[in-house]
Amino acid sequence: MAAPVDIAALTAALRALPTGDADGDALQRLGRRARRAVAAGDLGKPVRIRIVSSFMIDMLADALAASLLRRGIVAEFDLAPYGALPTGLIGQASQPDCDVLMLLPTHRDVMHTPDLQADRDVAARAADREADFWAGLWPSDRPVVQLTFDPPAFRAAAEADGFTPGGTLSHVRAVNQRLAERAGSNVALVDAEALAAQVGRDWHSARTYALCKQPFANDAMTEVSEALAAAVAGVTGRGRKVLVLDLDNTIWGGVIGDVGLEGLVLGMETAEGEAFVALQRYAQALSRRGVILAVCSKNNDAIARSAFGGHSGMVLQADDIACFMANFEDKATNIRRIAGTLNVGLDSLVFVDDNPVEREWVKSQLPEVLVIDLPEDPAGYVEAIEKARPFPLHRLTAEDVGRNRSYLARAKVAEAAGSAGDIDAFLAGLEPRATCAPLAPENADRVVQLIGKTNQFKLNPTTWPADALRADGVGVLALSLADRMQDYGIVAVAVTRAAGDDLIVEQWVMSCRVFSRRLEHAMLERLVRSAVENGCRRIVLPFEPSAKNGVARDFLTALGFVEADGGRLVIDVDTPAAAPHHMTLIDWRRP
Amino acid sequence: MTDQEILTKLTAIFRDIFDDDAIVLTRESNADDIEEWDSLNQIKIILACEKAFGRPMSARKINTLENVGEMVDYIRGELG
Repeated sequence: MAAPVDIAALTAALRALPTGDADGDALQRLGRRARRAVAAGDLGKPVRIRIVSSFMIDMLADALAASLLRRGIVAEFDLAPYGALPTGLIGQASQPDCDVLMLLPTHRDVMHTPDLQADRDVAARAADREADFWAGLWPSDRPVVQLTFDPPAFRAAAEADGFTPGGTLSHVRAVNQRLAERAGSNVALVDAEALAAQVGRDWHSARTYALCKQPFANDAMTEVSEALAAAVAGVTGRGRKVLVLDLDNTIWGGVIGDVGLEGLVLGMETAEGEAFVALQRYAQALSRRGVILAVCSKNNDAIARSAFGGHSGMVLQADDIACFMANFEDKATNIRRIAGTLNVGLDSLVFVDDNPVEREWVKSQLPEVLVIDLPEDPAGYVEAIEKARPFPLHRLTAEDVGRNRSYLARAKVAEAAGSAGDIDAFLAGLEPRATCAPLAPENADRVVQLIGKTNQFKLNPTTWPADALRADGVGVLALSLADRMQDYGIVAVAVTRAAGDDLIVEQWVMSCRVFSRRLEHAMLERLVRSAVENGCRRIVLPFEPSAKNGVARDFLTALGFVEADGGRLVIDVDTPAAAPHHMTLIDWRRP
Repeated sequence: MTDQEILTKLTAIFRDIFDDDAIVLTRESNADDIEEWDSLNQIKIILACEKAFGRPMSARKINTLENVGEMVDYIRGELG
């Protein structure tokens, strides 16, 4: 007899599955465990789903249990005996009780296919008769999920099968259309033709059908299971509601704080720009049918907003966004604020961000938020969102269409409760290593480039060609960062000159990619070491404010720098560290 | 692949399908030894074997086999 199910391990294993393309065998395995746990009463009161199918669904039921549990739905299945569809459903009064009725026919169950030569009227009457029969099986007092009739595997009449009124494929399509017209709000149809097209050749598996009366190959299990689970979620009111979008490198290419509006990769002129346009179009289309859009970006608010209406490649407009959070606080805190402002639960949110570190942070802090696993290539972003099926919809209402605008009208800035979880544990868990190197032939180009193109964390507009960096008395600290997720290369540079008691940091730049990593703390530690080696007691920064470097000032103030004469920022070398940086700090010297 | 390696792979498959890490298979093991080994689980076992051993398997043939030992012999034969 198997041991009791470890619920925490099961939940963790489900969370660890990718949001799209989860392994079908893994789904079945976890689903078996879930069904055992439900049977033992360990998962609470289940939703009772009666499944009536004209094919063997035992393996699908396992996968479905996992797909549903991932969406927070604990399900118990009542599987009707094989062959119960449709005759076992006739006579509503004698139907077993259930919370959701799931009907899974296939094209093999179609009864009134007309003759191939039938004219349009005869074919239409056949389709009406067929649809009336099937729609008559639907109860009106509970949610129903039904797979529409799938396209047959073979078209004996070739292309005519779909274009002649009497063709089998034509009949199937006509019936499905009429089912949609007859479906009340409690009926969620799952479009089998669209699903079959997505699944591809595994949708019809003669072999698997011969083996166990399952018409699709096991490789299609995930898509079928996820599509049905999404429909159950939608029709029981458990679909998600809000799409939270990052900005830089998510809805446009580039970091707007660095490259400005003119540097964004966005628009139909390049392949990459097109990919971002496609994501914006998709997000806008979602908003037009009731999904609420929010922005969560690590950016200066005004700079972030400047793109909306300010760049010809933008599709999303300012008033498509019901809640706009752009600042330098951590994203979990901001996402909590978004949920609070929109007055929705965290389990209503979907988060899309190109940066895997941000995604990990949000996943770790806010497990109820669905964080989409994005591929590296922006061209795959829309598909990644679609495959997760986070926003099921089976019926459009006027309220859906107006929803985004009404949230925008009602939205007000609300201070949500405190800061998100243990950021120190998270940063330490990334196992960051900062390596400090002097100027060297192999890093000179990168050092010069970083100083030249950084705008936000930069002390002043001084430029430093390689010769200037090699001059006598000039010290260069080139800091690179690596952690267990990736190697960022050189991301911060300080240019120093000792002058008596003062170590003057003539220039200090840091890439905005690492703004949330406390690398500036590690750099300060290294600067202090330099200062002490040179017998200095203070570190002095000649700071000149510009349009873009306000954020640098905030960082430096947080480090403990104070303003002195001439607008310079200074700190004593024995000032205690403001916060732990959790990094292993390595000095690299040429042997 | 040796008979022992085949048996090890089969054991992993059975443990996965029956969700029971305590299952131990011998050549003599058959459906009498595992309570839930019915025709449905038999199908799951066949599909899992195809994936694990990378070869299509004859369901008709497998359904005639009497015990795990005969399964090992059949799989060894299929692997050539």
